[in-house]
Amino acid sequence: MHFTAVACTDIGISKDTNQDSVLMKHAQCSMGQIFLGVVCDGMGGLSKGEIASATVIQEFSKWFDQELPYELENLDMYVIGGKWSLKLKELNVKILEYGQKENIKLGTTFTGILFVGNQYVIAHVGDTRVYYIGSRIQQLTTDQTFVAREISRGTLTPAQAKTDKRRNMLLQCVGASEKVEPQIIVGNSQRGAYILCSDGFRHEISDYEIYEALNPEVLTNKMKMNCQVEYLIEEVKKRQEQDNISVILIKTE
Amino acid sequence: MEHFLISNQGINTYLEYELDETQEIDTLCMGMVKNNKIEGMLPVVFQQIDKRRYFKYTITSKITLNKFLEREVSRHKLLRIMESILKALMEGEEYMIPPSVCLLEENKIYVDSHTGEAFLICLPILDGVKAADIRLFFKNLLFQAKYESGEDNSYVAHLIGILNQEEKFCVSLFLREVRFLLGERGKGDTKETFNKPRERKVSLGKQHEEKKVQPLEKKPQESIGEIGQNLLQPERKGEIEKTKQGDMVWEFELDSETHKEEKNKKRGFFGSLFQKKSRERSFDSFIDSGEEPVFEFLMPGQEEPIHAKLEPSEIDIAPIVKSFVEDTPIPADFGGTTLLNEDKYDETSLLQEWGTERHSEPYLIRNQTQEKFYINKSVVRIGREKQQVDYCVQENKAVGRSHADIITRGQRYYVMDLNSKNRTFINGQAIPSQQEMEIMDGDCVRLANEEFIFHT
Repeated sequence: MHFTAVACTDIGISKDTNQDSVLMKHAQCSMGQIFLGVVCDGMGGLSKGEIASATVIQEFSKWFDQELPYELENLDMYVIGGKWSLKLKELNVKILEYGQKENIKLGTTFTGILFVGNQYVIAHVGDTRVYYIGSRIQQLTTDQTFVAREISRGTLTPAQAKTDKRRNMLLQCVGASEKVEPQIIVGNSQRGAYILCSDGFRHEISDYEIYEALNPEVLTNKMKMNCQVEYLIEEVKKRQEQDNISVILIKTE
Repeated sequence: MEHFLISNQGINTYLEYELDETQEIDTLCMGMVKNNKIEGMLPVVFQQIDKRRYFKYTITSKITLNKFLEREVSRHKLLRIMESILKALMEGEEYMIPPSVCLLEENKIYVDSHTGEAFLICLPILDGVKAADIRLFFKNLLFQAKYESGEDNSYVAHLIGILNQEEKFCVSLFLREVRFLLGERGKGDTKETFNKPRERKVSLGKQHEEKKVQPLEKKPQESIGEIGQNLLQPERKGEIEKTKQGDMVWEFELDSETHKEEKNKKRGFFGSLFQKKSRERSFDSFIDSGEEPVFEFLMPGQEEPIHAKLEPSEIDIAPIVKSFVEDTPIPADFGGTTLLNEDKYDETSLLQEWGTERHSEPYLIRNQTQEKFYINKSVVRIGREKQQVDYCVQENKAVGRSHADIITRGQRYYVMDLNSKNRTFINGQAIPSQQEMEIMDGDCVRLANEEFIFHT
């Protein structure tokens, strides 16, 4: 599988700091290309959200450099998923303790995807998302938000959820929850496009609009990919999105 | 003087024998063991640091015969051990290594617990070691072993009978008896536990520098340990790049080019010399030539091994005081996205796609409490910190917050120490940190001083 990727993060129209952190790692090995993409949406006023999201991103960047080579010797995506899950739990405790010490509350979401060979593994905490676009757009991760849970339980309809006051409430996040239980997904990578994004990116635009702008047919080259992403971000800002906006767009072929 | 010492270096464990000043090396015997792979004998390396001289044997993944016999042995297992010891003695004879230089002591014979083969230590010292009484050794072995009930143990009496006979003890005849018993299936023979040798997976550890993934290179490492590892496990499927596998010769790398040339010449010379006894012509030519055999390993100061004695580790007694401030459950406002502070995150709404189902899960039993917990995930973490582990060992302060992982890869299982202070042990042997070490059914996995038995 061949990867072409672009990433973009925008402070948005109203925030003082950008608490999103984004990571992309692209490498070549005997098995072919490997790609790691992570988006972390930090939270906690006074720029503490940055500390949380940056800490997590740095840990995973280190993991890619130092531990991934050994995992490749005996590749098992479930083992990687398991180790990522434990790593996130560890980071949760670390950030939690830091927060207690400094008497602040800080945390971050986490959505990361690793492509090796013909598989991918996703680890996910919070409301950042991974989409896959093939013939249509598909959300691969499950939002760990209060409203998403209520919808799945049938106590709220999607329409109600849109205007519900608690629509941005997270059920868990790394560094601010007593316990985190990451969602781990292992799947077969397919040709098309994968998108990782923070919630700021997708609040004001519909799935269809994302599909229109970012489907693989449109993404002829890297420059075009950049163009399309920037176009969408501008559109989102025009619609008065307040939050930080982050996207990673990966074309797979 | 206490001659023997066990040391851990990187991924390997070594047994070292330090010679005292009065002892002289039997260079012929040394050459034989060094230059030939003798079945049933541990390969030996000679090292000299200043005035101190050592023989070093790689005993990674092996346990002493003593330890092996602590558990019950089946007829088959015991006969296999005896067969391999006898075979080793006989092979030694072919290479002119007398049984007297082989250590026939139960705590100095090493067993590969997976294949059931025994390995002897040969100490190539001129008339230093007391010749062992082979007959007595085997008698003691038969007396010491714990036999499985339900098996036909008449073979034991039979063998003791042979050992008690007046005539001079003959290794080959005894070996024949043992083999005969092995071939014959006794009543109530328990199922064979050694079907095929299972290699302990050793992944290249953190001792190597950061490996760049682009391109993924495996630098050939020429440490003695690795070569030793390759020697002992020749069937490895190229997970570690093999170096010098061809001629199985252990050499010290000398700096200057001239030495290299001489070395190559000598290898050819001694290569032909150190063949089996049948090549008598080359042996004669050695005596006649009057050349002093200079062995490369006599060059001091070429290597500096790390002598890490296994000292009792310090146990962390100071309790970690968690000053946890319980927040009142108010949805904290982080700006756009807020966190719902619920006491328990509802896990039913999470989709956990683990994939393949495990048919029969392995489990660990904590000796202290006889608690059982299943290995039902790819990676199971054990430690003291409840929020970051899967199995929590609360009361034991010697166990680290995240002490070790149990990893499942297909049908094989591994334990990895997570840089713990008090280390992790498999069957009593400390394992290096950050490296996955394979565990088998029945293995004792110890985290600091907390023991678990692993069952598949």
